[in-house]
Amino acid sequence: MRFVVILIHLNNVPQTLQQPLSLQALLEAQNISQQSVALVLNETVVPRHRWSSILCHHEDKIDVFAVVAGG
Amino acid sequence: MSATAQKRPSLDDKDFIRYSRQIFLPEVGEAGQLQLKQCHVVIIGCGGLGLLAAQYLACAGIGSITLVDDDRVELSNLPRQLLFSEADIGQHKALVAKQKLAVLAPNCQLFAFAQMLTLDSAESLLAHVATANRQQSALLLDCTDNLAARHSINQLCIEHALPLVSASIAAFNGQLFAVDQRRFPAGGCYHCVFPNDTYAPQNCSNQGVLGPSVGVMASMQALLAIQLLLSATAPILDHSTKPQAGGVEHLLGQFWRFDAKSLQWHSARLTRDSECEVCAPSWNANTAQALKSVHK
Ligand SMILES: [Zn+2]
Repeated sequence: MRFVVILIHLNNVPQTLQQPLSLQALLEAQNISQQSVALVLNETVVPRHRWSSILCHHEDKIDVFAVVAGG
Repeated sequence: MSATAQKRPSLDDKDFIRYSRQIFLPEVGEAGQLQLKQCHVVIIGCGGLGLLAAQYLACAGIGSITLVDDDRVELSNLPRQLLFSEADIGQHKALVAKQKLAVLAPNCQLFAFAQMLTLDSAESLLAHVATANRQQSALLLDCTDNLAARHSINQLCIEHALPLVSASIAAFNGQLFAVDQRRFPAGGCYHCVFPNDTYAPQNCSNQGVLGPSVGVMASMQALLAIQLLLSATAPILDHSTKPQAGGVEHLLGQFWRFDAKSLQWHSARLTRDSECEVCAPSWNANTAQALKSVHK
């Protein structure tokens, strides 16, 4: 049996993943609605439609935040 | 002398004194100040962000400013919308702002539209910035308070190739970035970050905000706008150009978030969404055009 432990930082909180997850699966696991947030992976904004095809890697820094529309 | 009769705008003695602290900066100088005088900035939304940005830009010597807002002044606006007073309550924000700015910045040519900006009304509303836009001296500030307006404005800016500086604030969260399809298409657009089906939980009317947080974002928006206008004659970037530290590409390719509680800024690189419903068509057209000229 093979163990994969992936440590990521989600909004500055360390998280351990037991299996490789896509960005989309990560949000689903956290109960975060995709339509309500933008996502920054290692200081780069990642367009939403690519979230399902990008896997979290060890030491990834991921920030998710809601759109702010007020003025 | 009317603005149209003026072939080559110049600065008079009073202008030199008024703008001396800007002209002292080598990044501005007399040439930069003259450049600002030929610029036209469109400000959509005359709330906290729009008013403060308008004040800074008008007083900095921007030649023309167009204000667009269909709202009227309310008592609850006064803690952040510092240009207004109780006597203005019930009047159209855009019209009152135009009156007050005319006193503060007599050099600035002001236009006010007390109406909502829609894709339909945009054609006529923006017709008078078309010349400035062709000369790369026009820019639009999105200072609206809802996501639907922000989506419409982005689409409009992409269609008109009009540079956009978007700022927003609600509760303790601010966001800021610029979009310019001509100079930095690789940065994408507003829809690349927030597609049409995005759900916005926050706005000022249901979330609350502190006046100075609005001021921070409005200052940054005006600062970004001035720097983009001053650098408008810099060479246009091709699709392969990577952002460089300190260059204007850096200003165009970044998304900034401000946490008004911890006073911290976070920045991230913007990337174009190749499947973006709004900017992908113009990107494809430009790339086809560029390829054509390469193969000629
Ligand atoms: Zn886009």
